[in-house]
Amino acid sequence: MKIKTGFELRDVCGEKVIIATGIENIDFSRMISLNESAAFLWENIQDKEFDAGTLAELLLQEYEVDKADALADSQKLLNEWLECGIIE
Amino acid sequence: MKEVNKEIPNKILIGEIRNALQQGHTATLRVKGVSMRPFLETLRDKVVLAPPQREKIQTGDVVLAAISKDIFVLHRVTKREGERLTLRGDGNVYGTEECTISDVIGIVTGFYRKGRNKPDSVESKKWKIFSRLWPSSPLLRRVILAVWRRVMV
Repeated sequence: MKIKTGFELRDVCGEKVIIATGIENIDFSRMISLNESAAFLWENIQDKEFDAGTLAELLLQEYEVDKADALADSQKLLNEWLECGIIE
Repeated sequence: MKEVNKEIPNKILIGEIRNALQQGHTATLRVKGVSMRPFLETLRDKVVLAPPQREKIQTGDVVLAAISKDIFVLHRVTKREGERLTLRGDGNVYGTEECTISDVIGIVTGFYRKGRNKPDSVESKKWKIFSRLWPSSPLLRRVILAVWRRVMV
């Protein structure tokens, strides 16, 4: 998996949101908010190939969670991102 | 994780849009409110905004403008006198707003209607015909919009 070109994490009003940012057009009609841990993951997978395992590793490095939970959360997040069409 | 479109206050969202336009981008924005009915439907349709060339703003253009502090409208220019503009939503029977060309944040160049993936340009025949035919008379508007609400919404 990797982040689709043109999706950028921004801070809008203290909220971390993903916005489709093209060279010309920026699409404010659809913004996807990320919680703190999802934003942390997003920032750490820029320009990288990743899967649920990669995300789980990052979570384990940053937060005190057990491995099974980290993996389950990562898989869930990955599915949500896929559904939103922001990763491929 | 969720889509947050509706939760971001207008003031903040418009600030972001203003920045994007000032940097030379265009911006896509979802229409909120019924004041541009019948052509633009709230939450269904989107508009594409471009940085305004303020000197060229003219009657018939649809603009995003600040009509007072933190109050924004996406309405049609119905009159221009020097730098002063009068705005009125197509779906508004009586209300108009006054502002100056410096209050204009962006000018509408296209529309995504009814969930389409491709925008209609304001240069399209459809938009030009609609703009020409849509009456300014409050009475006619009241009647047409009332019928519209019953039939279409």
